[in-house]
Amino acid sequence: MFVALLAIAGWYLLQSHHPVCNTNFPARRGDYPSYVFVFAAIAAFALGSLTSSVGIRRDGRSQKELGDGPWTNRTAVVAVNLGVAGFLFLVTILMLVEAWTLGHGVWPITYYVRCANDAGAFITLVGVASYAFVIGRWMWVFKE
Amino acid sequence: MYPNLQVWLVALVGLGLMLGLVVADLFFIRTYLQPIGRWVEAWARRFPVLAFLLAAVLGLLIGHFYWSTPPPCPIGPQGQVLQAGTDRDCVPPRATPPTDT
Repeated sequence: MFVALLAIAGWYLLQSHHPVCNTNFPARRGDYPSYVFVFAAIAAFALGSLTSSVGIRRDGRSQKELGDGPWTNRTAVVAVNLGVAGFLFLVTILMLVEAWTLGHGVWPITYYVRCANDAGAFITLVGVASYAFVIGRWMWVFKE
Repeated sequence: MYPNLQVWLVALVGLGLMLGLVVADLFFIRTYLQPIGRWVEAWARRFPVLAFLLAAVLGLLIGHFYWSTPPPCPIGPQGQVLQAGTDRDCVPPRATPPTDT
């Protein structure tokens, strides 16, 4: 699904002979109002946690911490920690880019995200809901 | 200059990260017999405060990008309300009541 969405977005954006949003200042909202994104994210976050806990209960999976029980494989533990560190590093870099662009009169990343929302609100909504779902599924978990 | 290429990069990073997770999932299932999500769940149980902070960062980003309070519409030189094509959700400023003189 994400490959298809990326292909559609790429085809539309790179074939287009006109800007996909206002080049002076991108609109703060696209086809859907703000609350659609906010409530979709909250709902997806809760749904992610719900499906995770239902799956754990149904399969009788271990709810032990990383490093205990079945979660002791050393390389896997290192890989998971590296993955989280890498994600935080990426977010930090993007925030530095945002700060630099704001200080130099260049469009910050936020404007391009708004532009993307203006150009393809549905794809943006799917992306937002997907992230919230994954984070809810992985982060909103309970111990045994 | 058109912002189309940069918008494409935003989509590539945003949706590409999810694709990266799918690939990581396949790798973890083959190598460690469990999908990456279950390992990350175990990580979140080990570090609940960090998990909360990570979820909060994502929530902050979503709010920052997509939650906008409608700004007042710009006013033209003749006092007319301009939509300007930039703020589709701008609200016209309230007419000030006449002062009692």
